[in-house]
Amino acid sequence: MKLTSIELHNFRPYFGAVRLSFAKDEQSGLILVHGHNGYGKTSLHTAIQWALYGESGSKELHEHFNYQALKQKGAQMNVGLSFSHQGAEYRVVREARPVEFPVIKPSDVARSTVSIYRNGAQLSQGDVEAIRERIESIIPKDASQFFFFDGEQIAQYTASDRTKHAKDAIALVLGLRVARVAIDDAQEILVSVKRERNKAIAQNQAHSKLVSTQDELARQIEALSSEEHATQKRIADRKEQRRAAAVELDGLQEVEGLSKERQRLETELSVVDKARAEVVEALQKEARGLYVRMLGAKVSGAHTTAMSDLEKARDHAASSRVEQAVGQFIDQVLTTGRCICGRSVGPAESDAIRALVQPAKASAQGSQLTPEELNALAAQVHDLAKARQKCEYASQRFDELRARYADLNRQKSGLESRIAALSSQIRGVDDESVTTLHRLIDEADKEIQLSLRELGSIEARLEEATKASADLERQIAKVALASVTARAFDAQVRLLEKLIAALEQYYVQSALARKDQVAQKANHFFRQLTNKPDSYSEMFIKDDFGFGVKAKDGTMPDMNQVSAGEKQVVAFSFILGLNAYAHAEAPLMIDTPMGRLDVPHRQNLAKALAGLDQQVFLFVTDTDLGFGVDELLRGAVRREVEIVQDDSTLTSRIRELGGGNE
Amino acid sequence: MSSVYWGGATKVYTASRDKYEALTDSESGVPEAFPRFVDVFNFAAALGIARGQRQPFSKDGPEILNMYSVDAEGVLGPLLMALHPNAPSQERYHMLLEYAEWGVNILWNEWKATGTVDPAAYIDE
Repeated sequence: MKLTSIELHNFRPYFGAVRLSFAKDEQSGLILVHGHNGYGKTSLHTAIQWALYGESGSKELHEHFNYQALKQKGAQMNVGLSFSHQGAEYRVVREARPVEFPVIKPSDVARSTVSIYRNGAQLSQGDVEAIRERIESIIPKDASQFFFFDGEQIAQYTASDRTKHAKDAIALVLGLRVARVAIDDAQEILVSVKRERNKAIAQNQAHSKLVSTQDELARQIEALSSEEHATQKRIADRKEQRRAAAVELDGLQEVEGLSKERQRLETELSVVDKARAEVVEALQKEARGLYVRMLGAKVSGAHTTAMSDLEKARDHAASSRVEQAVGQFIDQVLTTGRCICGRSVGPAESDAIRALVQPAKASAQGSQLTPEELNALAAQVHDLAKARQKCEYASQRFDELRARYADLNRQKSGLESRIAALSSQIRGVDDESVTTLHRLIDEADKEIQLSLRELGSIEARLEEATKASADLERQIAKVALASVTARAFDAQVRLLEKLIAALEQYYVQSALARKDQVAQKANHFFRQLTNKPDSYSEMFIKDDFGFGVKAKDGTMPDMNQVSAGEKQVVAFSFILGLNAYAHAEAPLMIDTPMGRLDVPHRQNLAKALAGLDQQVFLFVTDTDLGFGVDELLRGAVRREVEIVQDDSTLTSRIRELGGGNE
Repeated sequence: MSSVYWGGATKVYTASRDKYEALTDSESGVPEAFPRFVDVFNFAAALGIARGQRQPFSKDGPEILNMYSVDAEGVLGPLLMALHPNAPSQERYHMLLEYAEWGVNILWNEWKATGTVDPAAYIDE
């Protein structure tokens, strides 16, 4: 860290703005800040620390506020520091302003706010803690006491009891902060881990109770799972039975279709049978007259013959009547010997006539039927005519019925075949089977529904139990984890303890190593600064970074018995040695460096300070530079300013010595 | 049936009642053609007349019919009278029974052989 500028505004004796810039060549070497007591040297020194680290309280802040500025409404106080650090340009601005006017009490001034910029960009805006850490990383506050200090107070560094705070501060300067922070963090973690371990151990006791509950729950889940499985199996079995029954029923229903077809055919058959029966009845009726059909030809022949005979007989009978009348005439003529015309018939004519009629008479008498015979013949002809008619009619009607009967027989035969074929397909099926299957399916459906509801209930309970088990599992895992964690924590505790021990050891060893380095350097400075080189062989640094001197005779006088000036020399030697190995690079700011030193020591200190290549601010009064000190320092002085004060307003300003003020 | 043809006979006799029963059986017979004994008799008689064949038998066997139910069509009487004009009616009656006796044997033989009788086969000859 090398300061490049300081700006003050209404800070302590500085009313208004005051600025001090440092050129490149002024960032190493000495910068002298002159000023009388009370003019503001220490205020400048304080401003730098306030800018970096802020105030301890409102009282301090109130004291920082320039009293004239406090009288102005709206006035603000700020300090701006610009510095380079590790290749970057930083600027820190801290400011404060009153919240009440007029400002009567310290709390009327609000706590300061700070901003930090790096290469012009604001860092961690509004994040106070981040800004503080950033500044701490550049130059820790606890370490700053070894960079920014009052020469008159330096004897405190020689206190025989090095407080832990002081030891830690030295450790910070020597870069042992990391180890220190690691140790502190590890210890903090150790405390936290121990706490968690103890908590985990306490939870162990809850673990066995939870496990017992979990076992019971597991038994319940197992029982429910078995029940679920059994119910599912029951449902599956029933579904399979139902499926089989449904398949069988489908088959039966297919058969039922066949059965219906068979029924239809049977109905059709019954119709055919009925028609056949009617035809049979008709045939039977016709059969009664069937026999006449067979005799048709004979009857026809007999009728024809009879009719011929009858005709002949009738013709003969008719001729007979004529012949009879002629015979009667002839007889009369023969008897009377006279014709009807009156003519007489002679004997010869009578003989001739007799010779003619006698054979005819004789044949007529032989073939002539009697009227009764003729009537009988006529009756026979009549009967034969009727019989003939019957024969002809019977022929026609019977053929028709026969054809119909044959057709019906064919239909019957066909239907019976089809019915037989269907019957063989539907053999064994009956309505009872269908009814049974329907009942089976209905029962299966009801049982399946019931089982499904049951299953739903089991699943709900199982889900509940599983969920409870899962919750319990998580609790157990947590608790188990706690027991595991307890062991883990225990292991961590042991590890941390070892780590802390190792870090402490490292810290101590590092510190010892550094101590030796610092001691060597401090001893170098001590030899430069002491004006009793014959009395003291060396200064030494203790393990706790307390230090002392060793006399030439080997004794080590008690530091409380060493003079204040000598203590100051030893302390300066230590600080200069410490600065040589400081982890943090920072300007040395020494207020009133000569303090209580006598002239030889002052001169020696001036030589030593002039030989430093770091940026050193010396806030000096006139008396500090007397006795040749100024000359000893002059070669190393890069910049010289003076703080002057207005007697009337008691406001200070900075004036360049040899140049204009800022 | 006019009794003038049959000399006043009142009964029909046969020596083949079993044949009549067989032919008229409703299950195994030929009921469509021969539903009754009289149908068998008429057809058998007609068959015998048509073939001119008679089977004499003892007329003291069982009677199977009444004459009045025979030949309801009134064909057999006139035909037999025409075929046997000189036979007395009593003789024509016996002829009728013998014609029928011959005929029933023929029918029964066919039935025995085939299980049925086709009347048309006889009619169409």
